[in-house]
Amino acid sequence: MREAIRRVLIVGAGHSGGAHALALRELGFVGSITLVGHEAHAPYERPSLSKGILQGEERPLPLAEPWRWAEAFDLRLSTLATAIDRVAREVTLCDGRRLPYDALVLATGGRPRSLSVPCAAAVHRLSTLDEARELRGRMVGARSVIVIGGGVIGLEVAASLRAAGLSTTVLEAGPRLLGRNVPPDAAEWIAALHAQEGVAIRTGVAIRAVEGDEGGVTVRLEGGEVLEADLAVLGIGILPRTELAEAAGLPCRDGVLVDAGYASIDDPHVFAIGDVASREGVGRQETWFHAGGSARAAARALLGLPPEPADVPWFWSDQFGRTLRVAGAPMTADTVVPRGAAFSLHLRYGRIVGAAGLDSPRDFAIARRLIAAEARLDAGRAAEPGTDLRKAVAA
Amino acid sequence: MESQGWENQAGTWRRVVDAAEILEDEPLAVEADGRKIALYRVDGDVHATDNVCTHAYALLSDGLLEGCQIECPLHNARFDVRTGRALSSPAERDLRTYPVRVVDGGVEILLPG
Ligand SMILES: Cc1cc2nc3c(=O)[nH]c(=O)nc-3n(C[C@H](O)[C@H](O)[C@H](O)COP(=O)(O)OP(=O)(O)OC[C@H]3O[C@@H](n4cnc5c(N)ncnc54)[C@H](O)[C@@H]3O)c2cc1C
Ligand code: FES
Repeated sequence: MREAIRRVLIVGAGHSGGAHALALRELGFVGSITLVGHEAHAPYERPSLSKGILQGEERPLPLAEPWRWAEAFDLRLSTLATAIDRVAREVTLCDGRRLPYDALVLATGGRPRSLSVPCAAAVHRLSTLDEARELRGRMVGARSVIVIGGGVIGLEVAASLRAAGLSTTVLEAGPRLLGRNVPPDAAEWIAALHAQEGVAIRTGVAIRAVEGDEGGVTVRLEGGEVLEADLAVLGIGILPRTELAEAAGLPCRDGVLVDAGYASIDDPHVFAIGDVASREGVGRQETWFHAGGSARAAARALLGLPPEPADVPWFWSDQFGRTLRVAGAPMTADTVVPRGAAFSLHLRYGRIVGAAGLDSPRDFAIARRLIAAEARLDAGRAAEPGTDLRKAVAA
Repeated sequence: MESQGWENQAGTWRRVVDAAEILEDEPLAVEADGRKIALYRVDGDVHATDNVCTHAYALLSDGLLEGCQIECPLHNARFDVRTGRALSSPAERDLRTYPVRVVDGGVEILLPG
């Protein structure tokens, strides 16, 4: 038996940190749970920052009703953790206070990546509620926007601002949109959707500098072309916030390295979850699903409970009223089976390893189950949209 | 709330659809008195719940029904369609259910008030 854990300290009160605290209580943990969060807001879900909040919604979904934090947790907002002492098992806060722990859970997420070329401070980023509200405020009266980055968040921002009537241009450095995590066919559906809605999309763009201020922004491209807009938003991915872990000597490689139970591979008293965690052999995931799933898996491991069967990784993205969903590892497929105009099954050696679809949520739910079962598919039947996907499993 | 015991409840029975239209495996969306309601067929019986998930906003009739469990199409919360009970995160609140009866081949649900 491991020694009793009485005090859990969670650094980072975002989606994963909040979900972890709730999961510990749900699993019956009665010790103290302290959450230290840099933001001024109680834990909330981030997806609406690039969608609902920019389209006029007041607030994002909270992880729990506000009164629950006061009742069962010690939640310290607007507080930055600045150092970990793994020998004394203490964390230092920005006000100099030290908090002891039996188990430390790092849920620090990521920070937006910066351009490698000069970039004016007036360019918006979108990782927190305050930043989303600031952008929302600046949209009033603005007529045009340049979005730098054609990944999911960049495209969601482009869709939200286009829907609000702004003339919208997306600049992507890579050869196509969504190159990191969406298969080429699905990226095409999204490109067509944006074209239809009047978003100008440019791929293979090299930026030399971004200049400007609150009054307007100028983007200078390699080759001399100059683009201007009232607003600019940067969304070129995130870097995991590993500084605390690295300074404390915890092994990190694109994230804090953790085992299947999200414990540090070097220290059983330290866990890492959400965007900052890098699981051995799996890597990092930046999804809503993983934020909650890793939080619950770590809670079970921390309490010595057996793991639950792992679910297939997936994410969604809402743009122009449509929902793109991607599951599994479609980019490892050798064969793509289209099923109708905007759904596809991704096979490797005849077994389904991934799926992508615009809308079609029920087919997607079935596909997730087939991926988990590593089912062998009859490609001919799977390609018929009228056939129940469950009946496309090969004998 | 089970479909038995409806005799004691106040409200109005509304015919919403022909029973033959509700297939196993395929939840059906209907509207009655301005409420969005989902109908499900499980082992022959018809059940009715609110159609809007209790987590954020999604229609459960777009989700996958497996046995008596409906999975929300947006974030995969699962509910028992017979009791409305929330079975998995991220849903924390149960779904409202409505008593159902089949009269002359038509599905009727009991709406409050
Ligand atoms: C705009 C946007 C839209 C998204 N949309 C989707 C979507 O549609 N679908 C999807 O699947 N995923 C989406 N995601 C991804 C998903 O929201 C993230 O994967 C999830 O938020 C990760 O949770 P986390 O707890 O690891 O990190 P976060 O939620 O980012 O929380 C980390 C928290 O830690 C705090 N922190 C960091 N360092 C310290 C410190 N030293 N001391 C104290 N506090 C600290 C930060 O201030 C922050 O509040 C979106 C993300 C963003 C930003
Ligand atoms: S809206 Fe149903 S689970 Fe989120």
